[in-house]
Amino acid sequence: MIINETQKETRLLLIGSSVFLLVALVEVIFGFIGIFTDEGNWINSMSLPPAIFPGLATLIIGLVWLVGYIEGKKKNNPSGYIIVGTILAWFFIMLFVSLLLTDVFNAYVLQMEDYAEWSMLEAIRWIMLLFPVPLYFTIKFKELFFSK
Amino acid sequence: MSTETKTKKQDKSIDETITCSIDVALAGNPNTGKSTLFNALTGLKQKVGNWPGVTVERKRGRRICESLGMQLNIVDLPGTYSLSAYSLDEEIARNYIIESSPDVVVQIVDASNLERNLYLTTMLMELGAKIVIALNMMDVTEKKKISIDVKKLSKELNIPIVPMIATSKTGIKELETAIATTYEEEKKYEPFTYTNKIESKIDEVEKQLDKVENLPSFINRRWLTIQIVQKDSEIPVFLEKYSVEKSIINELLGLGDEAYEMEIIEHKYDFISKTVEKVVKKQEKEDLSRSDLIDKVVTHKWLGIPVFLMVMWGVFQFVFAVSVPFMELIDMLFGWLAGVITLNIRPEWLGSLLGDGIVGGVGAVVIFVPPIFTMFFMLSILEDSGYLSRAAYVMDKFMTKIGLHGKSFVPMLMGFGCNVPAIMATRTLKNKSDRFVTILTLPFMSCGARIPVYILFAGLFFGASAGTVIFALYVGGMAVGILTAFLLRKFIFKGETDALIMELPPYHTPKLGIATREMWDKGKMYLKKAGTIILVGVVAVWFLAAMPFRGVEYGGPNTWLAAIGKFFEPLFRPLGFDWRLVVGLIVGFVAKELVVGALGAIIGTGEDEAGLRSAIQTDGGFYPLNALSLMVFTLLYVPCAATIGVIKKETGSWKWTIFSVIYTTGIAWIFAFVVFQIGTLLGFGI
Repeated sequence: MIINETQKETRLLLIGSSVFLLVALVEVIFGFIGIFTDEGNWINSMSLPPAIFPGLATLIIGLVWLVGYIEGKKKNNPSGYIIVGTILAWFFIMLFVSLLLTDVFNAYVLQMEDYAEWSMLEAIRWIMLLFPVPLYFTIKFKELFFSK
Repeated sequence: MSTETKTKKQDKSIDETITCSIDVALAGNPNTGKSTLFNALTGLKQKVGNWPGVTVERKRGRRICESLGMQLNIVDLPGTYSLSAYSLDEEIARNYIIESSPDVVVQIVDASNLERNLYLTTMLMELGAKIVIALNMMDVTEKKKISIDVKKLSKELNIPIVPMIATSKTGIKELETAIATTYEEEKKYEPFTYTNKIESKIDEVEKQLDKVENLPSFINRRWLTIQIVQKDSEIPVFLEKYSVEKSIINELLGLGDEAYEMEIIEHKYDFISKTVEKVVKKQEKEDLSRSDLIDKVVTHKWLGIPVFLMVMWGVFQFVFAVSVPFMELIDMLFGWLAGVITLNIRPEWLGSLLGDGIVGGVGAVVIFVPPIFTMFFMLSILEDSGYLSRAAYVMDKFMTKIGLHGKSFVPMLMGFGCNVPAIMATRTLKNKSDRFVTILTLPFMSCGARIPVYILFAGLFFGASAGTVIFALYVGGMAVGILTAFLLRKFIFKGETDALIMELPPYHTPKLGIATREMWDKGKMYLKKAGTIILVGVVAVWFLAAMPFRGVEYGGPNTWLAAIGKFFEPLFRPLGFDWRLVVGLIVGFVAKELVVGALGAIIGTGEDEAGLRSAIQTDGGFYPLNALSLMVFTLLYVPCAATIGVIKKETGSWKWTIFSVIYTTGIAWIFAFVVFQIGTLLGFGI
């Protein structure tokens, strides 16, 4: 199972990884800034700002694709990087969608006290909005994912 | 087979249509589908896994073949690559075949990996067993475009071979027939012969062996001779079992030479590769499989570990978040039920026992069924996909550095479910030091029973970061385990760890059915505990929380339960725990599931989970720092009475069992102390 790592396909990996890395860095940096700017709140609740870990997940996916791009440039087969990065991206997107749906259920169906002031925006993670990238990879390289 | 034996076997028949009963042993390399075949033959639901080392004990089942008029008594042996008895599972398999002399040994062979699997065949041939080869995973060979001439292979080995696909039960009937035929016929293959030099050595040893008395007739002389020739290190122990004198053993071993071992192995592999060359055809240029492509990334030296850590973090987030609404619903149900019972059943003490004690106590355990089941489900998905084996591979280099064996990672991951089977799974480690170090490290792997404590306190005090805190606790447990392994290796179990030889099974889409069954099998243990030991525990806790009957408030500061807590309180004050938390932790020595139930009795005064949470939140004695200290203590101290029992069983030593209890509790105290005191210094106190 080898895809022809044409320049165009390798470039796609670079674009995908750049988008993910950029968003991840912004998310992680803002997450860390949140610790210090919102210091009082953090100490009282001992809760880390929620953006850091989703940011790290996005960062790792970006890194996987970036290494794939580098391998492709060296004329090595980058297919594994496309597969793993895309599966990870779907895994985390589905994870955060599940968390969002759970929060919606807790807030509106069970009307739990902890969710009295909850808004849907709190549960939206950047990686969820980046779904067109893995979607494009899944369609573009479908033989990597669906062939027997 | 003598007439006498046949008659004896016929006596075992359970049905008039059954004319004979055949003892069948299932042997094979790890991860060749042995357990799947065992399940297909017996209709049982033995654990099937997509990683090596799933079967660590013999499992028994039976199959009635009405059309052939026979009953198969099947024993599933642990997966082994050889029968040299280097590890406990190899020893179990080898000794069973020698001592129980099964009528037929069915060797499950991975058709896509013929060369490696046939090594075990040569060893079974050496033991003189009647063999049938179940050539499994024929569908995989088709996908890999490998063609095997089965008839020719059977002729080359002189062993009946049945091509099959165990997962879809293809070839089961043919296997039954082959077993019946092999049982009835004399074995056709000739003893495996070696070079003249080795053969003359074998003759020499055989002559000496003939002089040895006491040796039971079921031991194959040629096999034993070959083991002596190659100076197998396990042979003295084996012979001692049959009362052979030490001086004779030494005399026999004096005839052998370790150098023969290599020659014997080479000779076997030479035979195997020639045979495979004759019967296997592969397409000229083999493409990299999807598994190979994925492995390049997930076992990458820089990406492997971060990918693994992020996946595990995702799993914990999912488990925690998705379970919350289900827990809320269960809590509402039990809360309502406990209220109805307490209010309506008279006399009052009986209403309190049933409502506050039993329904409230058991409810406090049952409420954690959703996260525990979800956790098992997610781990099963990872395991079934084949990813967990890669995790072990990725961690090997690191594990070796800290003094653990790469294979230890598999039991460590199992420990996240339950420490008891995880400790048993260390049997796959061949080196005793590796095994003991792993066993003593495993209690630090956070088992499912500890989840209730984390969920209660992390959920209450750490809000949106609860999942991250729980993840950190798991990682922290692993870190303390690693530190323990490092110290044990450095000061007690000195020496190098053995190299990791582990098969990476191909990836496949996880099957929902397998994951669900696995989740149920493990989860029902939790439910079963809720109905047995925990039920007894909650009644005991209720009793102590209600005594003395007159003039005390249930769970109040003047009860017997409080007296116990107060007695030990000074020991735990530096950790930020008052007598109520101390009671929870003491009860947790029996089973961690009881901790929340006991706290419910004291703090929530028997109320439901929501009542307990609200009581903890409004109680000035609980705050994030001592909640964290409590979670750290719960993570690290001895898991439960069952784990203590299994440590004793597996190490065979009270010394190491007591060491484990004292060490884990001591470490828990130290870490909780550090967390609480440093946190207080940094201003995270009340």
